[in-house]
Amino acid sequence: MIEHGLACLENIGRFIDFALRVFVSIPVALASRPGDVLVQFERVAVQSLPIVLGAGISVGLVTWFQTHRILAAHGAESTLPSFLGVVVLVEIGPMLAGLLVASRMGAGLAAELSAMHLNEEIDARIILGSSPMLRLVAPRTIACAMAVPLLTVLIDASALGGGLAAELAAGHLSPTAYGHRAMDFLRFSDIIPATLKTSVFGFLIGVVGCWTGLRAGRSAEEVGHAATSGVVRSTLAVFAANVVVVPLIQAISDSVGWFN
Amino acid sequence: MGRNIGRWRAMASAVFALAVIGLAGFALYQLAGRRWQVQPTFHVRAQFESIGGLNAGDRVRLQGIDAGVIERIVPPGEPGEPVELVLRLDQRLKHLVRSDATAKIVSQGFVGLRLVEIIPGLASTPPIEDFGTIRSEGPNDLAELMTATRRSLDRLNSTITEAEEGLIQVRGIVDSLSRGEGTLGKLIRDDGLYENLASLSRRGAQTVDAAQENLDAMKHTWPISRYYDGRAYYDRDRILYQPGALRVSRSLSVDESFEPGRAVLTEQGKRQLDEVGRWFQGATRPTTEVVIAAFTDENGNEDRSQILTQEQANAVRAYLVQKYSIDSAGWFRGRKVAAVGFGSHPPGLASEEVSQSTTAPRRVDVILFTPRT
Repeated sequence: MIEHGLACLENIGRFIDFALRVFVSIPVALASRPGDVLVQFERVAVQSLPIVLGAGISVGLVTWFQTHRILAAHGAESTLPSFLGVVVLVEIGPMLAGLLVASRMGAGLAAELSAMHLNEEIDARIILGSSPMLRLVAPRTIACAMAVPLLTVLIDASALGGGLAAELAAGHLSPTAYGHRAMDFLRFSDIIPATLKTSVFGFLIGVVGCWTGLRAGRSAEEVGHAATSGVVRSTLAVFAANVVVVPLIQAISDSVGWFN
Repeated sequence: MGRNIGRWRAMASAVFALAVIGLAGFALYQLAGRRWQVQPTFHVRAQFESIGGLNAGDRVRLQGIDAGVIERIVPPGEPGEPVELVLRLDQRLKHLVRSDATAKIVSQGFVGLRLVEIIPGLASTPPIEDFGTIRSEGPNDLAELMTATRRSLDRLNSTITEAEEGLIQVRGIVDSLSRGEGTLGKLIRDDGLYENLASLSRRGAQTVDAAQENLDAMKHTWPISRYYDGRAYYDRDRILYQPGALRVSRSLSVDESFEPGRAVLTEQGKRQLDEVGRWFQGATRPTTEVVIAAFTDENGNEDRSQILTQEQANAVRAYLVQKYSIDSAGWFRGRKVAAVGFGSHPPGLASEEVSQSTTAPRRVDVILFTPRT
């Protein structure tokens, strides 16, 4: 029992050490291996386009349909875009982008790296003098950290677009009025940190995925296991990071006095 | 690994990233526009006792137009000082905000969204300068609203009560009129009195006064005044107070003159009235007026004693008129004989004269007023 607890503690320490080394190697990787970063970025961001847009439009449509009935009962259906705007841009958009990338890349990264580990590619790279940290982990992490904010913007836009489509189909607001009302409650101090915080999500997804893959055992079963736990761990990491980051942002913007 | 992607794919990635960043930038610019951060603006200050939970960034309206935002909230320096709001407003609306403009905190919609509403000042006053202070009105708190509503409801209630009391009085007067001759009823319907009655619901007790005034006027108008003279229908308060006339009076004790609690004269009472009647036959001046006023003490029901004294006064009047014809002062000359029961409430105006005459509260006064002119 105690040994298990100590092992856990050791693992957490190793993970923190790993994450710090990735963080430190980010500038180096950006400077020396931009090509690798670009490849990974294309894989994370561009290829996530369909799922992100689909998820966004779906959220917008469904939120509109669900809330319109309730708000219409109070004669306040014209405030729907205001609420939709706040809900999507402040919370749902960043969260959904983080979760989508976590489920897509958490599995992908863990499986890829554990397969490399299985066929001894990583050992070969170390012998050849190429740092797997710099060449494999850092570019993937950078790509994730860069892609998630961009995907967040896309989810926000497509969710508001979905809401607009529903409004045009079943509501009575014009697109201009919809746009005006959607911005009613929005403040820069809410949406800019909310969008940028997803960078943290992306970084964690990359680090957790790679770490899970690199520490997998050498068997086909272990690869599958690594893929599964890569998804679970990176999703949990996103949730946990959200819990930590949001109060932090609020504390900072309060102390700075940024209310606009 | 050294794997490189092709040129077109790299460019596609870059275009994707730039497009998304552009989209975000466009959205931020739109939002900045909505918050008056990119347009030309001007600033005004407004001071409030309480800002009712407003935040920096909440909206400001001018006559309902979206006109700006609250830029910052300056807390008071010391307790008791007001909170200051700095408002950032659209430059294009500056000519509307005069130096006597008023800022007001209002709630909007069922979610209770708070915002600042600016009411522009008069066109004759100069436009406000940048960072000038405009007047302010406090927020319409729900609690305040409830208090105000309760207060006005109370006032409405008391008005209605007054109006009801007034209606009862008027109905009594009108009833007594309509019991009389038909011409009177017509007069009432045709007169301004009718309109006054109709507007009673609006003006409450005032209308009652007006109606009474009209009635008084009618009482002193010729054919009707005869009727009132006959009925001895007088202004109760005025009748005992006639400063311009000589006042001579005789008093009868109620306990001696009437059967206890009734308006029937006893033998002793009749004898006393015979004396009074003989005294009257000496007074033959035609313009004299006779007032028979009955009083009682404060024991017993007020309404009962009111009716009882009236009946007693009537009984005295009937006896004197029948037996001694005190209502005529010679051939073809009438004399006013008024019989009034005052109950336990002697009239305020004539209190001096009444208390001079006698101290016994249960009595009937027979008063002869002789004008000095």
